Amino acid sequence: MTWWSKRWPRALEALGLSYPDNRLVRARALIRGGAVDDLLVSPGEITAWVDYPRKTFGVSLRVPVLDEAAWAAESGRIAARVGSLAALLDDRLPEDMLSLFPGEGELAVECPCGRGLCVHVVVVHLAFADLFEEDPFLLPLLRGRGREELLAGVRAAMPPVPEAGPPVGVAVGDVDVAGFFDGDREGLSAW
Amino acid sequence: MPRTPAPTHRLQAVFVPDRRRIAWWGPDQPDEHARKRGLPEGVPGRIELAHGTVPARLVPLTQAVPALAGLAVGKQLSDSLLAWRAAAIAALGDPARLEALAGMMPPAAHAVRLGADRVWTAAELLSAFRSAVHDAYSTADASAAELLAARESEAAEAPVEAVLRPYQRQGLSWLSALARNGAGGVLADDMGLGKTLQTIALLAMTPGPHLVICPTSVVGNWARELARFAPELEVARYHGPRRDSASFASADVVVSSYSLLLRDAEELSAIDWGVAVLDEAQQIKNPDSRTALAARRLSARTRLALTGTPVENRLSELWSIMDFASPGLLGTRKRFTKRFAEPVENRGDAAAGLRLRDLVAPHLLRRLKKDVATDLPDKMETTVACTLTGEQARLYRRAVTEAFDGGLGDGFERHGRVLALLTKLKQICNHPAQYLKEESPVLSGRSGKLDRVTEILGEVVDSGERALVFTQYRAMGELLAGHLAAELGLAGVPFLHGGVSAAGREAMVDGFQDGSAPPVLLVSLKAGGTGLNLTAATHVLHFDRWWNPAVEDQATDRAHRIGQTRRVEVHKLVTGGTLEERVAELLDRKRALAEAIVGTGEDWIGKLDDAGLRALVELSDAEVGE
Ligand SMILES: [Zn+2]
Repeated sequence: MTWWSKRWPRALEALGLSYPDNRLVRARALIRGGAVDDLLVSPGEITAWVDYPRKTFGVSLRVPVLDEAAWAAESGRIAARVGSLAALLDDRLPEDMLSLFPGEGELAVECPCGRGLCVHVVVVHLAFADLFEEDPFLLPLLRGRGREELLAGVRAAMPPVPEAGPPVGVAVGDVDVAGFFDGDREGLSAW
Repeated sequence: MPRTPAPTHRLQAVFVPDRRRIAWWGPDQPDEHARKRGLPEGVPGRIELAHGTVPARLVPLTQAVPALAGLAVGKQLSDSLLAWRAAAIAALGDPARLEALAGMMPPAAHAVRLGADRVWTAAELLSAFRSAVHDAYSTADASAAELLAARESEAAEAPVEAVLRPYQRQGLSWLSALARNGAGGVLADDMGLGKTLQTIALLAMTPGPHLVICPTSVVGNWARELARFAPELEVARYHGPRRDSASFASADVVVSSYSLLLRDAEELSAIDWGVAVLDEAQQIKNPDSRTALAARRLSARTRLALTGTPVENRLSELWSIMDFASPGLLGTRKRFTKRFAEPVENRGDAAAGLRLRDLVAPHLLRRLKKDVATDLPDKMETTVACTLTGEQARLYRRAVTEAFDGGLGDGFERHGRVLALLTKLKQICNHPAQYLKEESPVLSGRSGKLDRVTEILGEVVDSGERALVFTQYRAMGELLAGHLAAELGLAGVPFLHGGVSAAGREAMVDGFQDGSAPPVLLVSLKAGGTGLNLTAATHVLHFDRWWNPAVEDQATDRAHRIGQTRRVEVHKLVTGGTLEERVAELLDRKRALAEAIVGTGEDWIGKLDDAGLRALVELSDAEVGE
């Protein structure tokens, strides 16, 4: 499992999930049994149908989308480390995107069974985690930016690199041929 | 002091600033060393270091940097690899730390030539690396957008002696965008849409030399199509027992086979090709096969894979073909399996399928016949040139020698002997087993024509279409029936010939037409008769030739006649270098004249004198396969 799909279920703690919680066990079993249908992720909302018991419940989970200013700040933070962008391009969620997870009071849930944090909600929440594990871009999408939009924003926010003058080099004759392959091994290994 | 450092068995790394790539070099096969360490293999090339030019594998920064940063430190890592691992970690995390690395680097990590007698210093190279990494990540993959756009526009010029159809001009526009960007791709158009022609147009407009690797059975076909569509290109066949890699020097295009890709991997990978083409690229669908490994070792600015079936059974086949065409695009095989193959194949994950499609889209062009239907004529004829096997060539030469040595006589006797010779030669071209009248013979690999026909029919059957195969010879038809049923996995391949009763004939026709019988029907031309309505066929193959256009057209028209709403493709098989090819050329070139001459079948050949006959039947050297 990835850190981000492990992190996702904790958003339910604010709604009353505790450990061990029987709803988690039951929800896992329902997902394995194929009780979730038509799970859709769009900006601000995750919706799905849950077949249990003997009836279908239309569940929705809502998270506020970020406005332009918040996205600009978010893009700037990601762009400050090339490694974050490299991770995204490799379909990994960089840790500096932790702030996109729903914070205190941001997650709102709705199920026609009307029991607050019901097993249906837990099912959809965990089913999302399964998709999210494979596709980390679902989190920014939920917050309002699709993959291309997010990447374009981050690229535009990358700080410039200091200019270097044209290379001068050294004469070939000055290259240490005897020690051609030897560097500061200790220093490099400790990097 | 020695001018050249001692050889090294450890994998070395260096940043090559003008190519903006990380290079692996040092041991004989840097790609294998890289793979063992979980590093991307990159594409072959050569780099200029302080002590000279060395072979290397070049990897784009967005692939090399994350992989280097994830490399575990170990005793076996060279100092230059450790240095670029450290540089990658710094570039991704805190680029300011790069400066501190300069004093620790060995010359092997930075002594890249800078002009004639200077090399880069460590500090300069690290600084160039820093801005190259920034550029690589801060610009979206511009080439991807360009490639996607290119396929929507039509190439303005097409330096070939043919009129390209609109979709072929779009294909050429995409192909030349690949070449412009030094990218690779897979052209996966349906069979019959002209992958060869589009490729030849690309070769004609791109600086060479180029390499075409194809199955042995179509080496001759490629050479012929090149001569026909791009006559100004110098074509060398690298093929057959008397091949010579000296011919590479003067050639614009070298045509060779998969078996030689294995056998002469050294010679073929010693050249920096302009475009390296793999025809029938499903030959490398198994990424562990020696063929696939040898293909990945080819050095080329642009790599192009041609196939009608990019995925036959499993997604890993696409990975293998794409990893030749655009190395690293789909990541390592392990990661590809986890990210795409398992989700799509085991869980039917549509989102993973879409992500894969988006990733592949700029580098894969596939048009189906139905997509371009309005662009196509309703009958398409192609001559398919095949290569003689060594066994066929021996038999052929012996038959010609014996006939001429024994003397052909004159008058009525001569006429009979010449026709007997023609029959022998045609049988040898068909299959040695037909000529030698073997009982239950082994058939595969002995006749270029049979192997090619089996390939064509394999694609026809896979795409759910139906084909008629005509031969003049009952014996050949019987051989084909058994062979094709076994090779194509069909319950049987019915053979409609003179010995079939009227009721049996009707049953065969009905079964073929309504789809209850296997999708291939063999027909002996003589038995054809009239009134056969076989319009369910979309492919017609003439296994051997009558040299009488009227008779062939009549046969073709069994499939292509009024009421036929689908397009019919006609494949006329011809063996290169033999009398089959010369007569076919004569027919094509001087159609009007030839029709007058050959109106009565093969009789005109009986009227040739010895020299004329010899010129017609004698085998030319270049044509023989392995
Ligand atoms: Zn509920």
